[in-house]
Amino acid sequence: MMADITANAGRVVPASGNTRVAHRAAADEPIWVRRSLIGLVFVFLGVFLVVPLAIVLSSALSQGWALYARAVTDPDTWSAIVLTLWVVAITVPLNTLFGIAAAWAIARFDFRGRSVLTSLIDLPFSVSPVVVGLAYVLVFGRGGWLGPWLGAHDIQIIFAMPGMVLVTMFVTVPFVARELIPVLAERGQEEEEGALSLGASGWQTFFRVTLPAVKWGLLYGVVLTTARALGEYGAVAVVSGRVPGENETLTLRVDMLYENYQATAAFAVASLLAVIALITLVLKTYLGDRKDNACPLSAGAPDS
Amino acid sequence: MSIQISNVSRAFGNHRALADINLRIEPGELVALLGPSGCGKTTLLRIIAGLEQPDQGTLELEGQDVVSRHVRDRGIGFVFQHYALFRHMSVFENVAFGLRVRPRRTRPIETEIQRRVHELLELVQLDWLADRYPPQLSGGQRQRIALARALAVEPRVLLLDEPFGALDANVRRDLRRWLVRLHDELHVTSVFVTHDQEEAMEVADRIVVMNQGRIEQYGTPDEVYETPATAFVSRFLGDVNLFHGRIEQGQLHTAAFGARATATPAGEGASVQAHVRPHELRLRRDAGPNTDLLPVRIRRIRPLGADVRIELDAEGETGPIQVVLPRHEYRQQAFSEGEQAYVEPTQLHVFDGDQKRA
Repeated sequence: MMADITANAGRVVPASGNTRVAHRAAADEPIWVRRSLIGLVFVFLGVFLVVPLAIVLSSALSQGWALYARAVTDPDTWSAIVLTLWVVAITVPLNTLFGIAAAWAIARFDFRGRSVLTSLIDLPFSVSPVVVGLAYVLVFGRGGWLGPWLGAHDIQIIFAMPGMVLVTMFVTVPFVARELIPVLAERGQEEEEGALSLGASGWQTFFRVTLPAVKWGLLYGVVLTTARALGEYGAVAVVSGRVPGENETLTLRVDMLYENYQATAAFAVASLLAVIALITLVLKTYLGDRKDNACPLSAGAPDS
Repeated sequence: MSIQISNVSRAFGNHRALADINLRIEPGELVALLGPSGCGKTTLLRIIAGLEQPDQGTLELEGQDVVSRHVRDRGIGFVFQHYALFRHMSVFENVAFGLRVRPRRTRPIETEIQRRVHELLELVQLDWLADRYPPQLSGGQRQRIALARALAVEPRVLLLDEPFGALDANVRRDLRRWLVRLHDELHVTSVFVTHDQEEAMEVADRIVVMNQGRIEQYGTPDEVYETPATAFVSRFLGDVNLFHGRIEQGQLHTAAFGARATATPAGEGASVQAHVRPHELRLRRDAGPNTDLLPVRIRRIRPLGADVRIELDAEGETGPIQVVLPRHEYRQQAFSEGEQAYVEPTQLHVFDGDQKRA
């Protein structure tokens, strides 16, 4: 018995390098499972994401640069681009402010209805954009709740830009708050209390301590919000008047062109959206890295 | 600056964090709030700072009621348990923060800020780290930077929450002594929170021993150690051997030591507990003519640096009895494990038996 144990011990100790290899193999899947899983994911993403995107770009250019340029510089397309940028320019700052306020409230205060608020912020994720559009029509439309009042004051929301901004805001509400809540919660309150104890005012604390601490998470949320605002179709389609050159966003323009058998032009405009999406992806990846690195105190490098 | 706390209470939901606290801290004192976790010591510190509000009671700094005054207007410096350094700012900017956020009227000019910050960094002996960032510093360095940052606003009271809690044992010991020297130099009224009685003993002029939201005792390290006011204080400040007994005819009767004259707060017939510290027990080979010694058997002998700890088994006692001897005395007597011996208390602290056990 004794001899057995010592013999075993003797075998294990010098072979510690090998046991580590054995451990790794034991914890992991067989190699063929790994390879086929990785392969499957790549094939899937290739077929469902990369190929369609590539086809958009190649179709857009299939009739040559001239036609592409003409489609993109078409006045109606231009007005769609401008309108889309307006919607983004209004939606993103407002939702950023709201997101910061909501995240602050949820991460810092303990109040009745906190969990309800947290779920409510996620609501746009689970509601179909078309339903959102219809809901806004029912509230602000001519026959809706506020319709008579709005009509009397000559304010048009539905089938005009205000409606498109409102539904886009609804759809993009969660992104900033969702990004900030965990960052704020993880950093805790000590740094802010430290700033206050050193004589800083509330605003000084926010701008000098809190905001720099969460800036990468915030930018990440802003990029996601922007991407979603640019790409929104369903809700905007319902509340837009769909008058070319007047209240058509880029996504609606693509659809309109396609419906009118102008496939190449549709693909050309779609390629603009695709390029914006790729830029967003790059930004998102970069910011996501910064965000993750900036958080822990143990991180080696300074973040500025 | 003096601190006067009167009738301060604070509850979190159903939990009473502080119950009717009264405490006066004299100007220039270095005071420890000592107690187990959850005893309310950090809450009390945060109330002094203004980071927490009392449900009732008053707090005066230098005779002025400050309960309704905002933390930024109290003139306190706060060192947080995890330092709370601003991670995105250099060490220099961390220390300069308190000066830079001042209103324009009272804000020093840039060269003055530079001078002050470097002076403070020299004070904490870390001037060479000015351009580093907090994540690049060791725990001890972060601690000292946090202190320099708190001192930058020239606080009238310095408050430290578990200042050495997150450090290695060696660093902790060095920093403790360094803090005492610094306090001797600056003489700013200081209050620190700790759960480590050794730390409190070594650093503080006076110790506030707290338990379950109440102050059990307030006194110098010597007072709380030598004349503990309650059984809790006695147990919390160091190892004790516990003997149960009864007061009869003004004397303490224990199974272990028979009848002994002793000062006692308890009345006739009360059941009491007697505490004897390990160094207050005399261990000897021969009983001699004494009949009230407790016969014991030496179970284990543990040399611990300057002292030797000996565990004894005694008939009728539930746990082993601990005795600590200075090493030279142990050498002279040359006790060995398994040997038969006798113990006699040189001092007994008697507490009401009904008191809650710590």
